[in-house]
Amino acid sequence: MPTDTKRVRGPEASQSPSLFVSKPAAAPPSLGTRADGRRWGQVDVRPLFVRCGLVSQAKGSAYLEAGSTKLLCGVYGPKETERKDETDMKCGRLTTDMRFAPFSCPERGSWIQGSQDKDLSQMLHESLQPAVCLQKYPRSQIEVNVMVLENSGSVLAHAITCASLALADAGIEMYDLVLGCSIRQDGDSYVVDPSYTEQNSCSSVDSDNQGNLTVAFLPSLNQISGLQSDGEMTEETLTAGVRTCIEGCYKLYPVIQQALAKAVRRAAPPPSES
Amino acid sequence: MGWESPPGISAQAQPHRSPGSCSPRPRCSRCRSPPPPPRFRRASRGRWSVWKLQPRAELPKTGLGSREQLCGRRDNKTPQSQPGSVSLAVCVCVCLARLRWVRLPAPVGRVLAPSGTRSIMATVRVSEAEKVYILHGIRDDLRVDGRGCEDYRHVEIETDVVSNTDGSAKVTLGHTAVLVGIKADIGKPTPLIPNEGYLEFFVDCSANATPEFEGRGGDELGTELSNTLYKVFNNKHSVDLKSLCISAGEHCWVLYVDVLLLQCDGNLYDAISIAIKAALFNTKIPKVHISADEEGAKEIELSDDPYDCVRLNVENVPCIVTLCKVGHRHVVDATLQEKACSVASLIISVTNKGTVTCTRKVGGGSLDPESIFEMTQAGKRVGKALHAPLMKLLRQEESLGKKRQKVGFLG
Amino acid sequence: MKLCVPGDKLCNIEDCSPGTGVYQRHGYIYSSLAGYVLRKNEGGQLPVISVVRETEAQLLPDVGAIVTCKVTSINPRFAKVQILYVGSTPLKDRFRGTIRKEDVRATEKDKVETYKSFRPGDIVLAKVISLGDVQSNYLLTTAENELGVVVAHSEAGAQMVPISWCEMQCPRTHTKEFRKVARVQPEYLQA
Repeated sequence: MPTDTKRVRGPEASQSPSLFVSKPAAAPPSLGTRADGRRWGQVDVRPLFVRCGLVSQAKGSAYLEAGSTKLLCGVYGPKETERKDETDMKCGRLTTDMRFAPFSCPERGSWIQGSQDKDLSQMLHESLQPAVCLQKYPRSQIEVNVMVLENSGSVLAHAITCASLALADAGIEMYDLVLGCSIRQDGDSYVVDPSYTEQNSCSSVDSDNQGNLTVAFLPSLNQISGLQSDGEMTEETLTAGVRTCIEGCYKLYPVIQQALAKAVRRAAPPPSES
Repeated sequence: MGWESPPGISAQAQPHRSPGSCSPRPRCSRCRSPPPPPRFRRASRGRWSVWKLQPRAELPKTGLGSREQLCGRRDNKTPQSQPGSVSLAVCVCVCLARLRWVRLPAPVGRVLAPSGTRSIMATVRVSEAEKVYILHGIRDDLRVDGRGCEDYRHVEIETDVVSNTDGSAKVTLGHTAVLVGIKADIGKPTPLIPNEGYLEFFVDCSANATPEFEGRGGDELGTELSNTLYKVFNNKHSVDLKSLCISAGEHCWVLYVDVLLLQCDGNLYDAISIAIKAALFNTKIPKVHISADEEGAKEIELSDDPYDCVRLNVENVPCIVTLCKVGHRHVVDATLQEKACSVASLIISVTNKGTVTCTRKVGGGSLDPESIFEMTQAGKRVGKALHAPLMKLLRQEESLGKKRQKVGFLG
Repeated sequence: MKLCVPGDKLCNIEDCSPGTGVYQRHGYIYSSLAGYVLRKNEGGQLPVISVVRETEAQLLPDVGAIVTCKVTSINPRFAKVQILYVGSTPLKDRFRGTIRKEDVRATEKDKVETYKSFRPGDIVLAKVISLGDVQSNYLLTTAENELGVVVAHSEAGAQMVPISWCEMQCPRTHTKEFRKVARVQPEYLQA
């Protein structure tokens, strides 16, 4: 296409105007209450809504809503592996794919999977793999696809929970469910299950302890299958943070159990005892 | 669920380690008996050195004080004829012969095709007997190459190896070799943080390292490594990003940190982080002067003098420590064989003050919360101890100036 | 009836023996599926505990399993098939298998001609002999009287009738075609 060189063209890159809105100073953590009414320094996860089996074509699926974080996960397989190598003969392969819808974040994203999505897929994979009995699925592949519809913080943690629910719904044999929980450490205090603004907020306090931590936990085996943190934390804070996340996971456990039980019951009446 | 030790091994393996000739103790006492030779032939050149990361007082009381020298020598590729190293090799052979499997020296082993999309690290195949041997050794704080559980392999660092970069470093850790080049470019700061520069990481897995990286094979590992590096540096104190700002909102320095893997023999994370720290230490950013003309247009003037440059403060740049869970213990700086025996590892990046900037569990297994806490502690201890000798070495090398003998890539 | 989710501790290993959908760990039996807990006394000393779901858990072709497959292509060395059923459970996803020339029948293996045994489109009963290696798919065999072609269509398009263990006849044109015919067991013939 011929370009009009006489015309003054706009800048090549554009930014959302919302970035330049002056932000109100973050409330000091000591205030006690968070924007959504939860409290600082307490294991206060957002109320969870979960439902299984919404995607009819998938072997199993789950939808999860925590605050306004909304995720959809579908599980396909076990199917024949596309790529073959020696390890697949003995045990199956789990593939994970996590994507953000372009409109899921305040800034528009692209449809192409970026390196952040790849990183999250990788974390999701590492968190789920210890829980799946892959040796029961030789030569086959199980696909887990997570789509983030709305990102309102703690996406990875909820994606892990959602994906394990979808795997269980698909009837894939698993050693345990996997639950995810994340915290944001800010100075001496922390917020559990942070929202998008909390996750990216930076309190003016120039403290050594500031960072995000996500833990994937197998509640019945008492094992940590995924751990990721960034920012800066002392070792003691990190340890305390991991404990807090585990506590948070236990709070999610009954909700997930009920959702699964509901899905099983809806799918079929109990078999006759004979 | 990863690899579990087959039942009954602890009972069976005990005889192997009983006072016979293959017990680890005799070989070390034998190795120790000759008078300790000079540690490294090249140490006098001021470039080679061995670090002992564990304080000597904490060494297990098995009289293995000279172990790290020996293992250092074994890893060292320069031909050696000292009796100490030979006897170590002989002892290992004796042990192996007793267990009736043949073992070639360290990094030999068949490199397999990538196993699964996610198992991206170059892997070696390890037999069950070998696993048991490694596992029991680690239980007794003795590794196949003679190190203790918290000892690093021999590390060599050379900075300023590529002249076209603003800062570069080559690090070899055992047989793992990493080259880092840093280029400083002038870019535009991100609109959210207008008064700071930023770092860009890119890790390239060269097909020279292992053939499985050929084509797009290394992409996945490269992305994983660079994503982790972003997290490691995602805090206010690692690098003073404000010093990279030239004029707020308009221009800043962007440091492109390019990592090239030359050889893979396990523990890539640690080697890369050491190399990045060394390269950042070596980085010289030219001084710029901003002048505004009467219309308000700004102009950036670059100093003509190549020695007129800014250095970065790297005191707070973290080092990554990878802890591999093997059996019930964890080891630092695992070789590929040890990695094959482990179900999961934890990477921790630690600053010189002991602050943890990034943690991540890697590998297909899961870990007990208690062992995560233990590993974090050990990682902090090891990582903290890593900084002082590293900085000392870097300063020492810097102080040599032009007298420094360049070794380059064939050293 | 009791429901369980993966990871639920069901009972001690001394109380029950494990069935399907469960695994053992540290002397206990845990559920590996979300479903109903079923205890059955099957004559043994211990009742069998298993977890069942509404649909049968996805079966994968295993060594020794009888599978129903459709021939997709043939060449002088082997026939390629697509596995449709494992036992009586339909497979949701596509799995491919191979019947090599020497696995077509038990006798006179060297005289087998694949073109005289199968044709593309035939429905074949076969048994899994190996999961195959890196290059190959599932390896199947029809070297038993009960295994081989069960449904085949003639060149005229009519469904053929078996007339011997190696021949089938078209009811419309009365031409005979060669096949490795299965002697279908009567119990499978209902419906």
